Amino acid sequence: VKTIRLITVKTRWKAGGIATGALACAACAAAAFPASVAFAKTVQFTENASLHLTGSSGALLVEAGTARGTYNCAVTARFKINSTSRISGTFTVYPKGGSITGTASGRIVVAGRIAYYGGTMTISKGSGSFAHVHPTTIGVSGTIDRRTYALTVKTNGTLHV
Amino acid sequence: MRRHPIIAAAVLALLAMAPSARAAQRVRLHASLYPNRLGASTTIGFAFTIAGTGPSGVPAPLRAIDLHFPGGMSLGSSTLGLAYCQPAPLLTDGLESCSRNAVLGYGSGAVKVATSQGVVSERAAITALLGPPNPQHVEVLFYAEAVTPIAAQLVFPGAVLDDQAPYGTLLDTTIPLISTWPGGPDVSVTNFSSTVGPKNLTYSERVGGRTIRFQPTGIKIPRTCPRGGFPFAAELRFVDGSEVRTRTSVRCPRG
Repeated sequence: VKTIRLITVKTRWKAGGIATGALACAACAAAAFPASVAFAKTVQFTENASLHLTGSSGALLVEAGTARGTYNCAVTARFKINSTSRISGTFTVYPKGGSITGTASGRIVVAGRIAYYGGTMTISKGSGSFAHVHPTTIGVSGTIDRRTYALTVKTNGTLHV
Repeated sequence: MRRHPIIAAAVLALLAMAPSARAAQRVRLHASLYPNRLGASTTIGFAFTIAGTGPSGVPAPLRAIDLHFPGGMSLGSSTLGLAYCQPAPLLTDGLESCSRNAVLGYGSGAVKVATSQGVVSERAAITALLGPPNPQHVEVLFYAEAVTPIAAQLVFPGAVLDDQAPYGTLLDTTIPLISTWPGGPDVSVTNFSSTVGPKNLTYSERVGGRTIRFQPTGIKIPRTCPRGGFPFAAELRFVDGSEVRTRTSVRCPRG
């Protein structure tokens, strides 16, 4: 088992969801890892992302997008602001060769148009090349533009692939 | 320090008098959803009517209102409050100090005070605004502006908190004591109403150098309606130590 340190700062996600975005970042980082180092079991990462709204159903907001920067990865996310201070959702990222799905939840602080959130996201399962991704919980924080529901996401942690 | 025994005696005397002043209050809560359609963005309306059971009909001064909103209806799902307002400038300079994008809704209030000359009434316009960010809760500021017979402005805060089922949100509002004149009685709130939602609201934003006006989206009504309708409840606490609980519901929309 080899531990590889992977730090990517200011990677931009052109479109996507909320807490999902952060999740997506982590998953992308893992997915995009070169095949030559596929033996890596642990990836430590830091990512930034931005995502946007694509649809809604009641209080459920749907977001999708693409990660850009060091890694490119499609993302979809569904989330809900459950209460005055809680947010939760699910996400799926589509790295080359498979997909990774998970859940995210956190607290939000409303500051007018911008709301700040912080919490965790948990990778629950993968498919294709990522069928054996380990369930992992990662810290996530960012902002929500309450007018457009555009998101920024910051996440860092360790991923087991 | 020597005054403490005197103060204590005075407090005891007041407590001894309390039973005669502890007349129960009667409170009626009315709630509405406009529009009332499952899954729709709505404006929530709520109104209290408070009456005393004494001969003047004037209730004891109100100290606090805990208002419970139905589950599944969260301010966070709306675009209400795209700016926030600071309470100190609001009190000093009025609504001009705040962005219109901070307005959450409008309402009205009425107060009464019993004097030797009879009961004096005053009405006030209420504006509900988003308060400054708070890590523990969403803060709402109620700005009350009265004109006659006395011109007065008042800001009182409410904390929006998570609530227990069947409710989803609790608005915990503290009402400051409002004295009439030095040494005079405090005024009593007899009516208080407000909306929280896009009805009558217009926000604006700059897009490409132009100002765009738009109506914010309101709190979303859940896609299913609980049996008995959407529940609202309130606890009101008064200066005389009494507490009144009341509840109501908004009927489920047809179809």
